[in-house]
Amino acid sequence: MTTLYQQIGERFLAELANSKDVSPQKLEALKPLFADDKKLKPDDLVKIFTSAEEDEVK
Amino acid sequence: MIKLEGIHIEEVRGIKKLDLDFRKETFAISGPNGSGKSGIIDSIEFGLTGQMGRLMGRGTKGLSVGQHGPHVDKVKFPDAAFVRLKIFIADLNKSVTVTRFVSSPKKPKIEPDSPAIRAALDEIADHPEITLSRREILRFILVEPTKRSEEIQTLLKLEEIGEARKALNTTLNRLTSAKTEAEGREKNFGNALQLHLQIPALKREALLESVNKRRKILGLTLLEEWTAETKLDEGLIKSATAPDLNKESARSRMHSTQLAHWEKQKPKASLQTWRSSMRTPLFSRPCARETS
Repeated sequence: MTTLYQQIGERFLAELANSKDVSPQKLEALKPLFADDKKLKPDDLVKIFTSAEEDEVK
Repeated sequence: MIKLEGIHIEEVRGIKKLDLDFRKETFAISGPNGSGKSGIIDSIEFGLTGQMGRLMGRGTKGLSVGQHGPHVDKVKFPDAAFVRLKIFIADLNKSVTVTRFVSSPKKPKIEPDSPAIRAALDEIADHPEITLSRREILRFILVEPTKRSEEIQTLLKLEEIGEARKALNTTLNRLTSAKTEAEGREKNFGNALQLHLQIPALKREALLESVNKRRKILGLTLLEEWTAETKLDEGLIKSATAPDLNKESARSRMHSTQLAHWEKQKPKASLQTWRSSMRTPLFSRPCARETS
């Protein structure tokens, strides 16, 4: 049974998955951060969203 | 949905030993201050979830079930503190006995045991808001309206959601300022490049044409495409290596050049002085002003 926090996290990730701005690689990197036993840290999120991917610079 | 059938409490909080029969009915507990009313609530919650809400949340830093769950006489013997709770799970139509020790709150003894029963208990454990203390209720009533939503989070033990929201907001602010800064830098670099290459707009074709025009003058190979990895000065550094220097030859040429210059400017007496000074090692030679 999922907690309310997990449910919100899953919903958030599902909405990000539908966004064109978030790549599948970034989404995979985000998933562990929303695990129930972890505290979400801005540093981790910033690191993921500022990391350049091969197909981003054109 | 569950109903409480009965409870046996031993050495938990302020209770030495107590048996209560709830008969699956709604009940109220009353008594004078310090008689153990809250201890019963703590025990019910502990039996169901393995936690005690009063030892968690705001203002409870440093409190734990292991240290503060046992009766004061048994603080050093948490194995003696336990709760045996008999519940009725309506969805499964089953009566279940859960025995939980303070020393191992996450390993209850469940009789009978089955995955469905454990799933039902896990669901209860995921909702610690099943118990509210008097302090929590009073705080919610007294809090100013603007902070009520925050208080609801605390009340429902949803602090982690609030913290996650704060983390996301902080991330958004940091990324927004980083984006603004990056856009400013991009604009500045673009303007500088445009000015330097003297092109009307930062178009790929215009950039290539302008750069290749300069590369052609320098005798470098022309660039065919413009990508993120393109180096405008590629090949320039390699061809611009310094030639080997013959120190003796250079020194001799410098000497003769300076000598010719001196002969034109100074009388012969001074020329002799200068010649002798040039024979002395460089590090011991006086400076030009002193010799003249």
